[in-house]
Amino acid sequence: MRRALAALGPGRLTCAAAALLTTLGLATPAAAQEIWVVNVVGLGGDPEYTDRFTGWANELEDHLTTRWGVPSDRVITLGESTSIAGVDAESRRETIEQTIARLADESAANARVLFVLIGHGSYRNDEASLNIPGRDLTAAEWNVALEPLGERMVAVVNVASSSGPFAEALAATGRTVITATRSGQERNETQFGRYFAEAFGGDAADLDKDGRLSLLEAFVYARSETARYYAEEGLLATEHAQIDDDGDGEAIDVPVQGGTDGAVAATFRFTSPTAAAGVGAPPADSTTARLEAEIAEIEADLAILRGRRDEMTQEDYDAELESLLVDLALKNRELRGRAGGGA
Amino acid sequence: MTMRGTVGAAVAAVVFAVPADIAAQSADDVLASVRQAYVEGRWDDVLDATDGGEVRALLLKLRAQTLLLTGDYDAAVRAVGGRNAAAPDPVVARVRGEVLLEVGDRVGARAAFEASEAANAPDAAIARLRLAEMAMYSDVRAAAFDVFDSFIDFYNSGAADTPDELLAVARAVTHLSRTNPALLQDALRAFDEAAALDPLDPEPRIALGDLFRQTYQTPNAYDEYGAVLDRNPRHPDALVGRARAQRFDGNPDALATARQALETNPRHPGALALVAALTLEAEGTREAREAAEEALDVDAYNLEALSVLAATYFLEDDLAGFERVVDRVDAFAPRYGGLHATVAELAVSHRKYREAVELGRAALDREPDLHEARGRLGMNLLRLGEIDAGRAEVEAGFEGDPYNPWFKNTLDLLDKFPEFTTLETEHFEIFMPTDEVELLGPLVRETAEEAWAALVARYGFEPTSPVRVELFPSSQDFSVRTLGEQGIGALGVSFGPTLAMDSPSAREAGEFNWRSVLWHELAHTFHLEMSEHEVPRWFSEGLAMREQRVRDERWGFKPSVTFFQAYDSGRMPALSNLTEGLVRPTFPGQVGLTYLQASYVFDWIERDWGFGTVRAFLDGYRDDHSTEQLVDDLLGMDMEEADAAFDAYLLDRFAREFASTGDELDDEAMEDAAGGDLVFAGRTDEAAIQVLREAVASFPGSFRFQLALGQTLLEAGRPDEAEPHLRAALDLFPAFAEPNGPLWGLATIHEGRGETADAAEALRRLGYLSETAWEVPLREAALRRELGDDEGERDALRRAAEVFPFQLDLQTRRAEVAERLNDPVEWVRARRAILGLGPVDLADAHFQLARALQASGDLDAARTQVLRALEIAPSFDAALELLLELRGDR
Repeated sequence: MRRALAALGPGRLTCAAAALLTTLGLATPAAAQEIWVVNVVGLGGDPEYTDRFTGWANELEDHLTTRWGVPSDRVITLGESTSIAGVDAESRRETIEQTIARLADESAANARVLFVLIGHGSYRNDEASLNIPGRDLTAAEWNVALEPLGERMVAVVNVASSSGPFAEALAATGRTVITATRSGQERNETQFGRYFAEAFGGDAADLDKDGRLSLLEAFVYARSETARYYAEEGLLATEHAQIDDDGDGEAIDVPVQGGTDGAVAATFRFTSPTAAAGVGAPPADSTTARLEAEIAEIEADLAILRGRRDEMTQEDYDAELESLLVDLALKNRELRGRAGGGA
Repeated sequence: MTMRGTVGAAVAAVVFAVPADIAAQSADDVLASVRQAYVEGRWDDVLDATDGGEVRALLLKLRAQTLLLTGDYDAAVRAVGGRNAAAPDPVVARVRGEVLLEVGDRVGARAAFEASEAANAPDAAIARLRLAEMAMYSDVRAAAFDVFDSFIDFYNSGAADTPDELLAVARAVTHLSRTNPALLQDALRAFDEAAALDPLDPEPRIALGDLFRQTYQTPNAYDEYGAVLDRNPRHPDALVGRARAQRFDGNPDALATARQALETNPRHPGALALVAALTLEAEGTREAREAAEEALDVDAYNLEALSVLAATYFLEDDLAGFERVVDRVDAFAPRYGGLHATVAELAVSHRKYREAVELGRAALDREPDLHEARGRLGMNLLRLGEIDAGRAEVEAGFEGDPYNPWFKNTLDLLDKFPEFTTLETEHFEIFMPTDEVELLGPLVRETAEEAWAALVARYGFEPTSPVRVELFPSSQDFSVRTLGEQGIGALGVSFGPTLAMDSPSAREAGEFNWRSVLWHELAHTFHLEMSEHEVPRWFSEGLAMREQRVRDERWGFKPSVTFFQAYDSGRMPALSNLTEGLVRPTFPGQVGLTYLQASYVFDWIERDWGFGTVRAFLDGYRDDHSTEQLVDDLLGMDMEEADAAFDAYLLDRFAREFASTGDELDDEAMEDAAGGDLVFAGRTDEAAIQVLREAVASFPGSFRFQLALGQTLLEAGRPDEAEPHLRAALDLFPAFAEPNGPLWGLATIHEGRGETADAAEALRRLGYLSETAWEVPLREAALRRELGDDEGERDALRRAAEVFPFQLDLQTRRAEVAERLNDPVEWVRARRAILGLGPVDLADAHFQLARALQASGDLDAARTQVLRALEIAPSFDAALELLLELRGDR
């Protein structure tokens, strides 16, 4: 019988994901990943939306190629018309299927493929789809269309309205699905795509400051900034982004420590050319190798310490934390000095 | 209680009245005619009816009720045989008892009811109920409730078959609902059945209205009272019911409605008692006492009137007088808790919360199942900051009174308290949302302690501490905390030792200035404790606003065109009558204008007599002196002279503003001159401009014409022509604080011309006129940034952040400019604020705060922050370097 009064205060965002990053985002450096990105921009309906949607795709492509070193021939943008700047081909279902077939041919078997679906979504008769030229592809049809990619790590980010049902329809082991809305009923225009593209444009979304941007970080950033947008504009939020990557089709809002969703997205990472230069390359000498190993060991110790945090006083915890971090800082300085980065 | 269908026989029971002048008609026709007259309030037609033989009792009832409703109590008594009639006829004994009870003859009433019962008269059951009701507050209370309980069997046996009997059942069940609230549903059914049996009878409908009111469903109550008043707009009982519902709803019409009832019956005890209570709420003690005494002249045992009478003594600190009234009640109703409960509520309206708690407890000692009083006791404990005890009482109250929305809302709010944190400072307990502590906590601590120090220095008085300050991130929650219901039209409230207010997050940016509100409410705490809660409301409100201005000229309400016009046209109360403007406003917005006007009283007193005189007023109120006495003693004039002197002060102080906004330029004249809304609907064509030009030519001293012409020309893209009119408007009313005033227009003109420094200066001036300016300093900051004026930008951003700190972009810009200026204090504040806003890039937020703390010299705090950053992001190179640097620094 108790009444719940809603209170939507501005400027309040969740930081739960930050804790998750400390457990998921600290994997040892992986070899540079072969990444392909396909932007699928649907029909705008009017010039304003066409410009906005294509603008997001172009912004994302720009950041991916310039900041994150994704070769431009591995970023493909399908759009309403090839007369629009940046559009490589029309986003018709057959073109989409052809593009997937091309990726199946040209990409490595362990490549990672990111699809970003931008536009107006629709949800009718329990079917969600992105509005594209010609006949739409429903979420279920997208699932079939992706089959040629086999074992490749595929991620789908649908930033359209009514995109929620894609999470369940596309769920598969090892596949990350991010949608801008929680359900097909959230039909209003979305802002998530704007912030998803923005995540690739600066340091702010690199939440663990490791010089890499994971899909999980981009999701957390875009979701948080979308929430801030609605709060600061004094609007009720009409979209609630979600993520699923444990294959169960049950997407969640915010990945949490100890949960299963978010783990795959944390390993789908974009690496800046600077950071990539040191990743996977053979060590220049044994000292460097030793330093890298020691750094990895300290990072492992840090993870263990964080796991014991609740058992310790804040003072003791901070003292141990500082001790480890100082070691880390000194070795990091030494390593960068050897690489010519200075101390 | 199992209900059954309506009883046809009851209809027959009401068809025998025989008006004398239409005796030749059939009984049905006659009855219909007389009853119609009664229902429609044609009292004379009812009184003209003569005895009707075997229907004597019914006719007598109608006659007696008419006489009671119209206030002819002596005639009513005569109609039932006079006060000293021996051995009343059992047939009319019950009606006689009702009349005697109404006029306070309890002995005679009891005898009559007993006679009816002993003779097993047809309406003996009702007499039995009345006897039980007379005993329900006595020491044989349990027996009375046994009688009430017997009415369930009476009903279930099918014996209750007249409207009066069904009403009696309903009343009995209503009393029983104290132990089982679900029985109110059965009471409702019985009332409904009574009303269905005799749809024209006003009594069941009024009783239904009262039941709905008792269960806080005033819309339904209005419907029931309205149904009676549709037939007889002068029915005093229905009017009193409506007035009570209006009082519950906080509708200022309640007093007028109660007075309407007195037009029909100037001695109506219920109406008089209600008038007394309403008057007392507005601090009119003498008038309230007179009204209560008038009610008691009719019925010396009227509990409602006795309760208000007791309150008039209590609120004047005349405890002997109060106890005398209590003794009067104890003599016949020692188990009646309503007196103390009523006085408690009236004490609350006088801001005497601690006394209200004591009274509430006394009420419950007498009558433990007075659930509403228990819940209210809980709410008053909450107001005093006694959260656990308060919650327990509200919960208990809600259990017994589950219809009570205040209790329900309050308990819902208390359920949210785990989401709050209490910060302790030297003089305060600050209770605020946990997720706002990082951002807002330091600012609240600082503002509260600054206010404390300033007010202690000014008043030479230190209230009991700690004072509890509660901030709510939802206006609804603040409202529930204050009133138990939503919709309070305020930003903050002081209960004395506890302040409650909106957090800045509760409202849109620029809606209010939380620091100013906190200062205002804390000033009330000083006033209340200094005066031992005797300070009149107008005095405390005005003085609190004066204190806001003393702290910061921008704070508090600002004079407006509306204020000057209202004052000039005589719509604002005189000094001696300022409370009226607060408790019974006569036009929208008058309360706020009264605050402002009252605040000028203290500008005036402080200017001419010094602040010591203001303090002396508070001391005087503490010593139970009236405002009249204090004005005489301290200002050396009577109230009339004080009214005139203050009026002269205002007219002189704001002579220019009065002249440019006054009567001769009121809305009507303006519409006539300017073509009304043709212009003000946003038209910017030449015809509209020409109309305004003519208006300005006719009234060059009109602020509004000059401003309207300037704004219209500006909107029409003619800034050079607009400028002189905007400047003229500014000269006519330099303190016009609304954001669309002349300074805003001038800033726009300067900006358009590329005169950025002048634009920024105009915005700075405008920003300093209003405590809620938000967009204005933001716009100024942007211009200062263009100018490379870091200091100006910092100041503007700080002013905006003081009004509304919950904006990441603002705080980020503020941090950046503070860093450029190497202003570590501002830099740290901004960086703390950013962290408090929960940015997505949390590692960077900690790192940046660490840098600012390092610059401020707080290396320990910087270390903590850099650890927090690296905890999230161990690979954060810059943070790792800062950690090493800090260790080197330490």
